[in-house]
Amino acid sequence: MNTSDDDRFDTWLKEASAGYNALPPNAQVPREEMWRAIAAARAAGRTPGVTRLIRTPWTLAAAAAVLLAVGIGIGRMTSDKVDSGVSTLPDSAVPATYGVAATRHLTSAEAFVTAVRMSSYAPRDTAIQRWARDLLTDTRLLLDSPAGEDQRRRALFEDLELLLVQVLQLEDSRTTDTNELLLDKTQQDQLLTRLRANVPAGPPARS
Amino acid sequence: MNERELLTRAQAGDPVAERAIYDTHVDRVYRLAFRLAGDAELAKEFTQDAFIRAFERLATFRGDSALSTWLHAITVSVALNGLRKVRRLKREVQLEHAESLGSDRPRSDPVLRQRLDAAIDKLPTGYRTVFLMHDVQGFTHEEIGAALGIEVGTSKAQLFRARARLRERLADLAGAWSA
Repeated sequence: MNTSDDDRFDTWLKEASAGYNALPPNAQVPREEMWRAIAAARAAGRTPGVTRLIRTPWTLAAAAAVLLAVGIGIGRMTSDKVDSGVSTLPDSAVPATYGVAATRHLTSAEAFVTAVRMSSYAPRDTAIQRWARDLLTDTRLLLDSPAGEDQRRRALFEDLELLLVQVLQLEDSRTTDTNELLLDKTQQDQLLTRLRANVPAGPPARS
Repeated sequence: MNERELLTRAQAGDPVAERAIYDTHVDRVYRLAFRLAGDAELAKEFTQDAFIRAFERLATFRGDSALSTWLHAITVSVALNGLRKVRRLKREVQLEHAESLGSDRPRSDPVLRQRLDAAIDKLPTGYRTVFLMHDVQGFTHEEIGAALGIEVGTSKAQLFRARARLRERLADLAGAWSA
């Protein structure tokens, strides 16, 4: 595809994508309905939104996470008795080299998320930022590699990518509130649980 | 009354000023949430959540950026976090209503339309957000940078990569879009 093709594509893309997730022509913004919900939530001192939408299944997910964490703990305590080179994710569809690279990357990501959780949203930490940037590059490379073809692993890489981008967005000038908004601690906890579930028990992989 | 006066009154707790701020910005916030979510119910939830958070934090808003930029930053943050939770639930828990998500899209779209929508859906979150904000919603790179907390150059790079990925994924339809 040459440059003029690229330009034509970009022009077409801009026009065609205008219909992506567009409000239906006759749709109206439900201003009053939303305002009533906002006023009611504020009066009751609670936050509505997706928390309401997912309350019941999230309880199940939290329970599953606790069970998973217990399982991982038991697995790690007995790690010398098992083959620590086996990933909990099926690698059948992924070439072995990519599988090893992905596992090492997830191990490093687990350490990173742990470090971020302990940083208490401190202003820009150069070491953390540099680490995040390196991990982000590797995450995107792995997303584009055969390692990203496994759906579960891909979802994990995408969530990791988002967290890394959010960490890189933090600036000295931002208020703590804004940083807390960007870096949702629950989000980190959930990601950490999933990372641990996908890193083999035993000593960390050597790079 | 200008925005600065409205803001000062809203920060002092004036409900009329809060409503005026809501009326001024709610349409664009809702449309942005809808673009990101593709679902009316989720867009509504994200918009409500964004305004609740904004009003909670209004006292800390110092006016370094435009109020609209600040609101859009909160909206994107709320929407991306919300969508991640919804995506995870769709993967891990078989929600009864999961199949209905995104059902606001017309079902009679032609193949090209469906291929484009699917390709946009598959973009990594960062690329997709920048692409939707710039090419679809008409935000400038400066506005996107301020809203997402990224450099203008990063916004441009993400848009470039988003378009490149879409070009790759739709390459076999070259005849259709170049006609």
